Amino acid sequence: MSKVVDLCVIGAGPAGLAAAARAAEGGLHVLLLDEQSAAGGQVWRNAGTALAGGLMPTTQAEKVYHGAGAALQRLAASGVDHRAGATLVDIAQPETGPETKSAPEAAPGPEAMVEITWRAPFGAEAPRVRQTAARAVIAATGAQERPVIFPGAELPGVMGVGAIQTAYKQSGLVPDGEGVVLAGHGPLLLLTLAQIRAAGGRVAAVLDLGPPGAMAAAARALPRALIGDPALMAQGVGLMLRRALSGVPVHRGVTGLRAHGTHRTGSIEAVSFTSAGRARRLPARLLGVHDGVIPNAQVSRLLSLRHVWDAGQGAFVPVRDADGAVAPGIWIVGDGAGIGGAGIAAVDGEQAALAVLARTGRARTRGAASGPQARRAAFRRGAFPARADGRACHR
Amino acid sequence: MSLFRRTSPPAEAITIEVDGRAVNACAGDTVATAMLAAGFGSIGANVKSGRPSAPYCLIGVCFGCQCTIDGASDAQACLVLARDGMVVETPQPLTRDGGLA
Amino acid sequence: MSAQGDIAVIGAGLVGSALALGLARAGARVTLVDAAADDFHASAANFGLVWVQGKGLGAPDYAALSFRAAQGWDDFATGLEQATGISPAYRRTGGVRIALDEAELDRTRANLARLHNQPGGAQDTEIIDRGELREMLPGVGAEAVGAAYCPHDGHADPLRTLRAMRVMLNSCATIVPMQVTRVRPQHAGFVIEGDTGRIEADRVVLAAGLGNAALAPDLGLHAPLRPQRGQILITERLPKFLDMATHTVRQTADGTVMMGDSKEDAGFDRGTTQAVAREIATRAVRSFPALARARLVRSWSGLRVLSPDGLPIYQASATHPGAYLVTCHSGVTLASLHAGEVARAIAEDELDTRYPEFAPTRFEAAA
Repeated sequence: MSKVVDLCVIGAGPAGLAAAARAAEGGLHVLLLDEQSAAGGQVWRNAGTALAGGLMPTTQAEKVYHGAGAALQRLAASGVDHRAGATLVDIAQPETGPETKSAPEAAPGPEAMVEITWRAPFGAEAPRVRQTAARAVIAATGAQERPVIFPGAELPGVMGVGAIQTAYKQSGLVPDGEGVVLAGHGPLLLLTLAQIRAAGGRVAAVLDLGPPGAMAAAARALPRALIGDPALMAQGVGLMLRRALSGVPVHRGVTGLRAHGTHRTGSIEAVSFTSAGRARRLPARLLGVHDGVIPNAQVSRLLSLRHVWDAGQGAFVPVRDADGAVAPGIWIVGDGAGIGGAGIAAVDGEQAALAVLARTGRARTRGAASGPQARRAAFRRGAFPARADGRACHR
Repeated sequence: MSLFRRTSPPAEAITIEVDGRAVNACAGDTVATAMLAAGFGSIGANVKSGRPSAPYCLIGVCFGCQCTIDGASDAQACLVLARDGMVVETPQPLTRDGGLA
Repeated sequence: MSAQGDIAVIGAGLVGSALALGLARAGARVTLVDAAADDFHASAANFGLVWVQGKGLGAPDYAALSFRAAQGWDDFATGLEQATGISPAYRRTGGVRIALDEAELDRTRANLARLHNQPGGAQDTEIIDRGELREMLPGVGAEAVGAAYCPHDGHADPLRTLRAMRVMLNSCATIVPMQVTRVRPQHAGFVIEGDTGRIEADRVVLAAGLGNAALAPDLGLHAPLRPQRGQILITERLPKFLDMATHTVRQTADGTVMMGDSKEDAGFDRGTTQAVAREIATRAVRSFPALARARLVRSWSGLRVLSPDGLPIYQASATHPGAYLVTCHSGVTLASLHAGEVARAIAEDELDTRYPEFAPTRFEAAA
């Protein structure tokens, strides 16, 4: 049985929340699907608990989660049908003919529906798999870490530093004990190092996989990345880095990174690499890796959209028009369309919602098309420095 | 010994069952963070090799935490909030004998 | 005109690779042109059946061709494995076409009767009843009322087969990555033009699947081909429960279970759809109920290369001697012959005389 909605938004991070709320405020019937167990995406993960003092002091939470409270309250007031824990299975675009190619410039038919197949949240009553027809879809799937590929990367105990961040935000977990090694480069790596040290944890080594000068560039980019942790920002970047790095061996120019597993459990027990011409091997129980963030492009790939290589981001991004439209009735917004951070994402989401409203004749104003784009470019250049080269960390 | 320790104020304690053992967790954990905190080194199994896998991303894109939760074999532990009494089964190695486990 | 000399094969899928291998073995200097990611990639989407039963209704030569192909597969596979260490994972396990209700069984029985009545018969295919089917396949579902069984049917791994052929070709042919835009006759042979340059050859074989249609007319060849989409689902690795091949479900050597056999008119679209996935999965679970608990890992689609009657086209150009066309939709089954007797026929310039029944003149006669 197909339910019919005016707009289906996929993803409840800053972009998705803004898009869904704006559209609902404009009178549309909106379904918001999100596979996470609560709204907020990654940057605002567990906002509710944090803002209520369940994770960190509320004064700190209000800085770290700035904007989250308002966005969640806006969602609650908007009448959006929000399904947390719902997984997207498929999106089928309206039939455009035997040669189905996405063309943002093609005009949609009056009742051309996008068919969304999704899996109901855990524990929901049958049917588990449901279908909804939507007149418009806004996908706001956000970002993920760029996977770091090297021998042993799949061993238990190897994870992205983003996962370490997530473990902290979700459950207040911090890496513990000996053998915690961080490898990669970028502001998020330094931030994770600083947070582990600030919580009293030990980091056995930092393996700098960046090209020469990358670590310094990451340090310069740190102020923007620290929007995630103003408590650390308050210390000043220089002091923070000195404290974080003191007593922690930093190996530079690392190549040939390998993770080695135990025979018994299969988990990581050591890392080996070459640095300054010397082969090294360190015991490791937890290896946090990082090589920047990239758009989570699963939805744009599912839709067989055209992607272009963005050298500055080191990622493929979908081709969009000024409002974020990628196909008749389909928009992609936020970090899922190109890394820009939470502020840009929210504006992006609003912009697409306004376009959806305009399409139905319900928006009074369209909003400036160039503003968000210009801000995005500037923000992107500032917060996440362009990669010095396009090669993977593992050489 | 767990790779992680808890730093946040104590939350409501709950209990989940993992492969027949009772595991302490906190309300607000996902099944994945609960298992990491409790010292589980792996949660899923690599679909191709069958070897143990563990969370790599914790946000739902890596499938390292795929296991059976309350009978659903396609659950991703990092996306499921832990609830008191939840039953988790991690993948068993493939057996030589016929029939599906 | 010499029977050997340079010969270029355009298309490096199952058909082109097998032909190139056979031509190299026959002593020709072979150039294999591979468009790689820019082609239609039918071979990469293949289900993997080496199938005899049910083929060639109304076309006894095709039934015989498929039978010969299956007979030759053991040697073909062994040859590849010995030369490369890569096994195509071919098993002649026998195959069944399961019927899930009496109407299906009646249709299968009627087709089989007609096949029995034509020259060459039905290749030892017979109807088996519910009891016999259950003995052969203990896990088969209760709805299965019977099946058509043929001992000559089997299955192989298309990607491993392709890989093994490629490894062999690396040492006995020249492989050129190029998206071909045009093939033209020139003074002493042909020139093949593409995005990265041009190649000259005494003779040329078009084996580019759906890509043949654009290249054929310049060479006096006729390739009336249309795409037919088929979608496939594949599960996680499962404990071995199915050795035999069935026409819609088979378990690979890895333990994964492939399910398929949709036939859709979707133009050149290679997407997958929920509606078809549901049909495929429903039928698979009705056939083998234990599959209901299996996790699906991936789905994909491929475009079958269909001629108007679904039979292969083997053509030697009458107006441009030295130009040939080879196309079929059973690239796995016929691989053994393409690497053997068909390649030899091309090498000796006897393609049209040895396979007159597969010349495209049959379409004009019908029209």
